[in-house]
Amino acid sequence: MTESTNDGSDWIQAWIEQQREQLRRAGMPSSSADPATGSASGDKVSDQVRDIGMRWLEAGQAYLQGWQQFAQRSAAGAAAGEPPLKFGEDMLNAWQGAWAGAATAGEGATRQFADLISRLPALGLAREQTEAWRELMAAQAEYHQLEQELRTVWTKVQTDALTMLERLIRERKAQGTEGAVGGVGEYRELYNLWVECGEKVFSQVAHSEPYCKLQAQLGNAAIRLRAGQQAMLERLLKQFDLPTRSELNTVHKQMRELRERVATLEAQLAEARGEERS
Amino acid sequence: MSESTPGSSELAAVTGDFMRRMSQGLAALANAGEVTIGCSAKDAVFSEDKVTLYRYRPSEVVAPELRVRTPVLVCYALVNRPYMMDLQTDRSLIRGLLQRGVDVYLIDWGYPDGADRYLALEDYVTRYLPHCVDFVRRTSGHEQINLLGVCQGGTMSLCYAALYPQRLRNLITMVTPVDFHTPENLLTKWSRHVDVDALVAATGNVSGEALNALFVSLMPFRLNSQKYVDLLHQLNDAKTSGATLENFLRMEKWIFDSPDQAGEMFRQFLTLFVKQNRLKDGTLTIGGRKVDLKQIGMPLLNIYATQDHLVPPSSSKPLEQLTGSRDYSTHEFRGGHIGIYVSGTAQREIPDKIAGWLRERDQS
Repeated sequence: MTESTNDGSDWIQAWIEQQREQLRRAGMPSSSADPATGSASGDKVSDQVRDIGMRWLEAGQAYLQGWQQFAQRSAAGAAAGEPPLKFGEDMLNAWQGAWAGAATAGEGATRQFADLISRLPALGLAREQTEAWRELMAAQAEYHQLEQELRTVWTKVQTDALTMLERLIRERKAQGTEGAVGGVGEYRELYNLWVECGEKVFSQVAHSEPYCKLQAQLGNAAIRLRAGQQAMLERLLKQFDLPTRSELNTVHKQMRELRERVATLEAQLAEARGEERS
Repeated sequence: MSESTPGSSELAAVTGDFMRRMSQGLAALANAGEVTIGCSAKDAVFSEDKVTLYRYRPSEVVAPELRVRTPVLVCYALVNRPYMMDLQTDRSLIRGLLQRGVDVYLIDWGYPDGADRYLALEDYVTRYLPHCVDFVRRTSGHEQINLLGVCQGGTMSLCYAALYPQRLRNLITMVTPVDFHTPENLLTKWSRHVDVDALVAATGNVSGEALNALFVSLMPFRLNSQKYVDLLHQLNDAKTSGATLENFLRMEKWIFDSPDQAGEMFRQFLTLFVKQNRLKDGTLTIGGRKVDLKQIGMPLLNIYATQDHLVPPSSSKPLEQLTGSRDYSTHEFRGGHIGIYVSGTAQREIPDKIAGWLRERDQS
């Protein structure tokens, strides 16, 4: 809205614009959230793979340079009585430096590399673990993507609520509502009106089939992610011979079945005793 | 937004004023002490697993000739705690009933834990509930008693009444969903695409916190924000009494004190009732027995709330066409799902209606 007056309503418009700005910032897609990244064309993929290779090469070179520097300095340091702990520190720095460069410059490329690796078939001794980790990673990626989609819907709900609020204020002003400008005298009244608009917009969206589907898909993805996490955790617990939820479930199931059998037998016994007495 | 933007300085002023008032409200909130829940004296008279049956001590001010002789057993939902029925002295349906001469029992389902994840619909409807009913029948000396089902507890009560009609004299349902597929039913729409089998397989019991998040998200602007702003604003008003804050805190306690739901029961309820609408369609079976609402021949009072966003009236009203009762009454309460227990008008209207209706049908 470009309308600007000096009748005292400017603060309301300023508030609306402020909210819009916040929503715009919150809704700005980050590079990592770009859904198109994963569906590049063949040329793009090969460029990305080349780029990944370069990044890994750079990382490796930086790491090796760190080693060389360490070797040179340790030779000199040994003579100067440098403490042995310095060894670890230098190595850590070299490693971190290599990765910091790669991370800042090639965050997207690293993800692409992970994507590439994830498409290779799992092999060897760690085959089962690799597969489990892959499933977990896929579940996590799916969850994040759906979460982003739902977030976008919520941002739109808030944006539309602001538009509705703006329209309401304008209508009230046009009707010459008694009292304050646009029928809104203080901040809280504006807030309440905004809540009302928000609920109206949300109600329409929330009842729609696409929203119901998206929300459920996100829920289902969260369930798959949790199931994957639980499977990994149980794998670890088994290695330490610690009880797992699955084992407890088996026990509880058995107990339930036993209780049912006992109840049936007790009922039969009571019936038999009744028959005996009669 | 820069300082030169039109209205920015006025906005800063009104926002500052608003925030100051909120801060003063927060200061008042910080001084709030603990709140107590429940007001009517009761005794635990029976228990099984985590289920406890309470009997409320009768009000001494009611003349014997005014008492409703047949006891009432309240079957509350599994989703929240039953103390909503007896929150505080001036907000208590139970107290209202006691003052009108009704002998009240209440089932507290407890807090299911991981060991209860395989508790099923069958356990609740054909074991716990019948055992409570039978206890009341046995100890009160009444062959038939009155059953009052609340919300999901009403749905379970309908199943029970259909399976064991001979044990009930009268049935009352309050804000009870029967038809889960009406257009206003948002929870049904949201759950339609949820893989409930996978959910329960992954989580076991379904956490009360997750359900709270779901309920709050039905009206996110009001329930996540506005009600707290309203409170802080109210606390800033000199005319607001300390009771307002206490009432609010009690409600908060109740709303978020949500037991986990036994996994199998939740799975069955969501699948059979919410997704498949089997109670309404007449295709529900529990423990191998068909649940036919036409078997409910006893007098039935169906109470619903016009502004109920959780159980819309359209979900409760179809009961009239489905039941076999020839003495079917409805009562429409002008309010919401929670207001029916705690609002000022409800305190007189609902116990009056229930006690009066029961008295007319009490055995001689």
